[in-house]
Amino acid sequence: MAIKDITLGQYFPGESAVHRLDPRTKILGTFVFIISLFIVNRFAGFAIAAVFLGAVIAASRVPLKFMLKGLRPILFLIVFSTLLNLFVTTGTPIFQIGPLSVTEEGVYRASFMVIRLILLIFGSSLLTLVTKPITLTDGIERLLSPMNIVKLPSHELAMMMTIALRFIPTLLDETDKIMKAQTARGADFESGNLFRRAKGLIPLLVPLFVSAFRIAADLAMAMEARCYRGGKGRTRMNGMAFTGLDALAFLILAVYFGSIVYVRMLAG
Amino acid sequence: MSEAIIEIEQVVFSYVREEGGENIPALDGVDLEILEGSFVAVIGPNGSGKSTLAKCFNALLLPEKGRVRVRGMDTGDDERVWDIRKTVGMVFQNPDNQLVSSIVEDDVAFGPENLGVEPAEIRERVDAALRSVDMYEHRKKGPHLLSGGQKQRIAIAGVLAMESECIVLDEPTAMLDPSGRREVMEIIRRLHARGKTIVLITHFMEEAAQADRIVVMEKGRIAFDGTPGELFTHSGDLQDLDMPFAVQLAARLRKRGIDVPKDAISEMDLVEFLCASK
Repeated sequence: MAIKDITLGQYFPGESAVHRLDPRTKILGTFVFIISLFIVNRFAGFAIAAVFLGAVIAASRVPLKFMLKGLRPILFLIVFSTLLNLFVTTGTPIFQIGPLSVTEEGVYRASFMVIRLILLIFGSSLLTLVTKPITLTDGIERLLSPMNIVKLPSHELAMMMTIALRFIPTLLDETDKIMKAQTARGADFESGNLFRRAKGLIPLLVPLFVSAFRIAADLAMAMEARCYRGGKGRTRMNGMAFTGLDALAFLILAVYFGSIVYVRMLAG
Repeated sequence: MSEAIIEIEQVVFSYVREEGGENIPALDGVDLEILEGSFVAVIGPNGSGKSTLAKCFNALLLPEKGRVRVRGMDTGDDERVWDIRKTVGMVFQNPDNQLVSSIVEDDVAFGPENLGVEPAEIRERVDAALRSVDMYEHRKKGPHLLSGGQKQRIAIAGVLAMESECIVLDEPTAMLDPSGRREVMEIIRRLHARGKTIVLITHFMEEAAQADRIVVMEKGRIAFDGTPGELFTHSGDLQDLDMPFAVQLAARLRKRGIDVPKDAISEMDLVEFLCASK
């Protein structure tokens, strides 16, 4: 298997309304959604959040299978925090297993936690599913640009991310090549205990670093030859513009956020 | 007579080795004029200074002694550096290490974006540049999905989009397979026909033979400067060079008493001569 086959990011290509939103709208929307999850203090709030998220997912036409994939890496975290909440919370006991007792409050807190985590993961992975990494980078640059006043180099940060994205496949290729070359000379990357394996990576990492520096030097020269001189005076081919679609999105977002806050007030 | 676009006078340049600090001379008094609209090939063995010379053309390197002027602007003048680099665009050897963006059309737009061109005009220039290197249908792809020859064509499109008058290509085909090499040469010929000034640094005599002027570098000096025809008839003094097949064949035919004309340097010329002489 070539390392190259690994898919980059998790963008799900599509032309849905959610895909077509301005990246800034999507980033801000995701932030608002995450904040709203921490405002919620009862199940009714989560119900609103779940309906909202469900509607957005349906509109984006991203298959549920892709969403569930995002959960896999944090499955352990979910199980662990559920168990911890179940057994450690004190309160009215329901039943007992040995020294551990499950309480009503525990069940309540555990389910609360799990729902919040799952919504959090779904919400944030939806952003990367419906936005190309490069568009996301542009969006971040534009959102951070007001911070230039406090000397935050927003253009430079975005350029670094752009270049990193561009060179991931190149460096993976390079890793593949070096691995083959070193294997041909008898290097062993696959056997032995953890310590041995880590040590085995040295003949891979050293040439990889050297080659990364060489690429960087070449690229810097090529960028200078193409008149790159930082973000000042630079224009962009694809300017970003908010459309009616974005206005609609902000409106829906405002209604959603308002109802979340309202539900919390009711509880208070 | 057309005007000179790049003028090089008595240029000396040497690299300093990091350990020991000794000087390694790369250019040792080079004089050269590149005329507007010409197609000049620079050849020579490794370490002859041809790449160093190319980097002096657009102020990536500044000469120690002597002067380089692009359209009359001195490359040592800090204020004109960007005008010089806009006038003389450059394509490098490694197709992977010169593309900036992960989308082809964004990469082509990189140059004009740096120059502060209006967005609508960038769009036009990018589309036109991609069409003239036959890569328009690949504009939305990632560079890692393209072949080496295609990546070099994207790099050429990047220079075209800056509307550079002169394109310097530093061994653009060295890392390509034969079909990629043919693609790139085809594009270079086409651009020359459209009036661009081309400077092609290369290892391959077959490629250099397509230029209308060849400069041979040796140990930091110019060993020969003339048309391909002149070079091939002079080949006695420059033994190291790998002559194109047609030139070798013509020389052997001459040895056997067949009077092949001196200006027959391409396979086409030979075919025409041999068919006519029957």
